[in-house]
Amino acid sequence: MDNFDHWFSTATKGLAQEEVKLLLPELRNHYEDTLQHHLGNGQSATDASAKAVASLGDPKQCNRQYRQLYFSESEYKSLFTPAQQNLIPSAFVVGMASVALVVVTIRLIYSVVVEKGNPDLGGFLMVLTLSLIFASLYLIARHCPSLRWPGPNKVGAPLPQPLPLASISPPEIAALRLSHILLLLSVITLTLMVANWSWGFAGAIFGPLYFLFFLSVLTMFIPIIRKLSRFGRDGQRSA
Amino acid sequence: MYSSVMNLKGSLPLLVLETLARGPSHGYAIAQQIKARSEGVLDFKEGTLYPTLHGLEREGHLESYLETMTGRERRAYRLTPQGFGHLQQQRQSWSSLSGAIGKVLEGGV
Repeated sequence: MDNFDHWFSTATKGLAQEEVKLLLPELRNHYEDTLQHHLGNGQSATDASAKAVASLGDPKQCNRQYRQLYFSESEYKSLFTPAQQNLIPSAFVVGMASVALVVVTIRLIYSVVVEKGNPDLGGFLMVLTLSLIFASLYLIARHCPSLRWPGPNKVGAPLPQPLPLASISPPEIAALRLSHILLLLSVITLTLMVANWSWGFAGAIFGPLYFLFFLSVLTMFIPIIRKLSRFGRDGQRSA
Repeated sequence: MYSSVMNLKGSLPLLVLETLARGPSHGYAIAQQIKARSEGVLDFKEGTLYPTLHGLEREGHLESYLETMTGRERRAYRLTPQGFGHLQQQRQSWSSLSGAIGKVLEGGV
């Protein structure tokens, strides 16, 4: 393993192989150019190689920067592979689970409104339910051009119309998977919150806690969503 | 001189856009042009250039294409019309910022 190989393996440690393949040609070309420059100045091969690698910078620092922009191995595996095969079963399971949870939530809201005679709280919970669901979908649509409606609307809608399952691209599948996870998470959070109020637990304490939990998980997803935004509507990575 | 340790993290995208406004180029050439035009004052670790280029491309300010030069296939970058607009804005921001700092420094001690 030469100087560059050692530097590169440290700088790209933990990144998905697909990302590494993207970076390797550019960085190797950069290294080769710098090497030739130093050799042209009469330096020995050893010195030239050492200087060419040094000019790239601290590989650990580069690795930290690369991880902010490129998918890690685990992120890539969970979102992109196997790409096509399990989309429909996944959508079906998540869809059914979400529908079931929404039904439970509505039943619980009904019990708050009718059985406990608290229409204000019921209305509030209903608005909160819908807001959380739409906020999750909006977040995906906002950051994933591949999932927007075609047209001048910059905000976009969560799904293209009609969803071309035969030609759907891997990044679209990844974004859909992410939206499934967020949708399910938001519905579970809401069900817990509403159940809390409905069953007369200490809703005032646990409700906000569930909500904070949801927000903190959502925050963890934001870097992944940003990485997904590198893909255009045609499914091609911008770099 | 306060040269090789100068922190370019925030201003590297602007320097890259400015360099590419003179014509398409690839990573190594961009790095060399920035150093040459600043007479060596603006030095940076070149491994950090590529996330900057890819980030600018993600934001639509640059587009890339493959070309073969000296027997090697390279990815070259060029400004998009959006990138030109963004560069104009950044130039104005930088100009007003440096003007303001200059006024403070002129006040001196």
